[in-house]
Amino acid sequence: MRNMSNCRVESMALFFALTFFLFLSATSVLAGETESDSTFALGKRLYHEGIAVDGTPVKATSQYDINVSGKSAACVKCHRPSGFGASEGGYYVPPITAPLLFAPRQLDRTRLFPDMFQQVQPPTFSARLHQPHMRPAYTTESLSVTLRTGRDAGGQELAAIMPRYELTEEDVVALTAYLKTLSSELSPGVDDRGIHFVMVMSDNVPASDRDPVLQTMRMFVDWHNRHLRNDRARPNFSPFHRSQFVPLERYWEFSVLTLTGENETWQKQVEDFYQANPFFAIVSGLVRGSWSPISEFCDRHNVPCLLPITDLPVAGVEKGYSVYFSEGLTLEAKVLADYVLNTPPTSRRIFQLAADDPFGQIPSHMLRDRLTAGRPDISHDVKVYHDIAKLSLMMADVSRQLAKDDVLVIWPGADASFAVNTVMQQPPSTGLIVLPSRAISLTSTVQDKDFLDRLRFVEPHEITVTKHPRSFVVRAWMRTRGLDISKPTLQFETFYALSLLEAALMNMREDYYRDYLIERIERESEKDLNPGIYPRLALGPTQRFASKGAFIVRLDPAQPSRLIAVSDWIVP
Amino acid sequence: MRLFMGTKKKVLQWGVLSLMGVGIVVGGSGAYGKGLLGHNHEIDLPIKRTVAHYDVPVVTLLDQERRKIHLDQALADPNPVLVEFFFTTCTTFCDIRSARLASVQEELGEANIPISFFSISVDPEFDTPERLLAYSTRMQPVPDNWALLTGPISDIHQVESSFKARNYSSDKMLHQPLTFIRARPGQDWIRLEGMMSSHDLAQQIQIAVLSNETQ
Repeated sequence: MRNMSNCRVESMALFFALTFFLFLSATSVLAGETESDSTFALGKRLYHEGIAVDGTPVKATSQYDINVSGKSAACVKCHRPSGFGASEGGYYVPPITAPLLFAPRQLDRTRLFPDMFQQVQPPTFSARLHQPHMRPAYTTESLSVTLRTGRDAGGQELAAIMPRYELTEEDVVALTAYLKTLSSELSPGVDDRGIHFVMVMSDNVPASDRDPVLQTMRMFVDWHNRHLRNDRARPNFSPFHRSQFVPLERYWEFSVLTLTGENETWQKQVEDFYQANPFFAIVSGLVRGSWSPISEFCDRHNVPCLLPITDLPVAGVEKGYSVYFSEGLTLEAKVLADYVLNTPPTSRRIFQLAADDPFGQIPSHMLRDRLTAGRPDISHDVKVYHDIAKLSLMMADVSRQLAKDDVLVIWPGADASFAVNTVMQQPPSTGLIVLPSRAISLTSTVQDKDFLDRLRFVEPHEITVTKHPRSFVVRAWMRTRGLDISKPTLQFETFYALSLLEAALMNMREDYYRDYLIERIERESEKDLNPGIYPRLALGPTQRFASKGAFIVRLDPAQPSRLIAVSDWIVP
Repeated sequence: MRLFMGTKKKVLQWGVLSLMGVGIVVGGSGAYGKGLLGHNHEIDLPIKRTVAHYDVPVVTLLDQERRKIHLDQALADPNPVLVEFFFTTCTTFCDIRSARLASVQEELGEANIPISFFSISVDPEFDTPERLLAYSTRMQPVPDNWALLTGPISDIHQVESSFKARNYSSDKMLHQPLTFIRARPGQDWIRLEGMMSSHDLAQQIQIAVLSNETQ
């Protein structure tokens, strides 16, 4: 296969590469452990940020004459943090994990099958898959040649889109040191039989919310395990493909971790639990409090934390190990700012009453910042209340100032019911009153028609769930199993998190690496698994918030448990 | 899967390039001869070129500076225009296609051909004008006359449909590397499917501008 003239050129390059490599190896041995640590760190930086060893952006040429550099040329862009690659737009990006790159290429049916048959891709994609590109194991030397010339270790030309890099030998040595660790060891929390997940609950969540979530999770996990047990009880039941994948699947084991006490202590509680029972990922869960301590744990241990139900995610993040439904109260504040700024009249004055905890402070600050950035001359006032008595006094004070076009926004604290009851007991006689979505379920008893007409909510969920065909499927799934649907939104959110997890794991074969799980979650979220709880749920590479907007809604006067949208879907 | 669809008024297959496509399918390696435009395309995905009429919808999108862009008016620019679909977190070819625009512009500049670029995000809820601006400045140099557009998802879908570029599964990872060129206002569009070098793309634009094929 190998072209002889290329071979001579390569052998020259190999000779110099090898000499340089030996020199570098010798120096690194002399320098001891720190040298190889820094080589690894430099390789990691090259892979993730496209920065060469000398600190300059790495340069490369793609598609014959297109110059790319730095981040646009970083390996991670296409091959992703796990090294398993992303297939997109008909381009097959082969995996470059350590076990695959530094071993001769082998044709593995279970690896090829999902790519060939379980993805919707154009014919060019499967044409590429049918070219086996057999090659020996990569070495630092052959990697150096490949990265520069685009000719792989087997002598075949790589696709033109793969950049041809201008790398020094130091760059290649550093990159190789990093590539040797890329998805080289299976992540903790998984063995031959099962995979261990954790669902996090906080003890301040009322049982009426907690129990339906737990029941949904237990039902889902039970059925997943039943299906697998059934498949395994029938060896060789399908001679074609299904039976080949059954041994690769794992039984799910879900632990419930109930966090107690102050929010600041949650990180330690999760840490302690993790040390005693290493788990693969945190999935779903319901907490009343900031997700930030748990997010810190996830980022520190590279543990995926998928789709918890929380009003206080770590807003604004891209990348990281926590994946959320939405930006929670931060999103609601942004949407409200957009609505106020773009809805006449422009003479509106804005009053905010905010609790002194994160549930009040995070959105009120965001709203204030967005309003003043959008219209610096806007009349705007924020008051912080520390207790109910104070809120009551402030309400009375603000009510006196409110004019017809003014807006009063109330951001209740951790327990929203106190603030909502206060508003309902002494509703201002004029002006628009806005509450966050977490107050909606607490206001169904409002009878005063005039007040109903002036009451608004920010609602990041879908209003007409039945617009989504999958809502019927999920509801039927729950009903046929005798699951009481008392909190549809929470239960559908839980179901979505678990069905997305199942879809992601299905495509991972036995490659149980946490980075790869996050990448599969990003990928599978593009498929329509949304049971109608949000208008759209989709991530994308490095995106961490699946839903990106909200409605402004009011209660239906004829049926106060129903919502009517008074705005379009607003994406701030 | 909507693949290689288009209103095919005139279909022009490039002989050499389609041969390369066949080369891929049969799984061979090695050179398939010198490429049409001087590059040695040893292995690449096939490129398909068609000429079609598209009615640009009347929608207002936002560019990277939050300026309102009336798409139908913008694409009726007297200069040649190039339209691409992309999104900022795309993992494979979006960065490479965007990086190509500056060199295409430079090559056309030498031939005194001005051009306007329109990159329309297929992930508009994530790609805010601020993110589009950050993305555009990542390209060095940043091409002139480059509008990166976002807007309500329904409008974006309408634009994609009008260019026969809509992927009905709404899975943005399945988007195709499509490039649309219109030489003069009111003329038909040249639709290029597949990745090509900046030199080849610049040549395509030059051919379109200098020929009367798309009238």
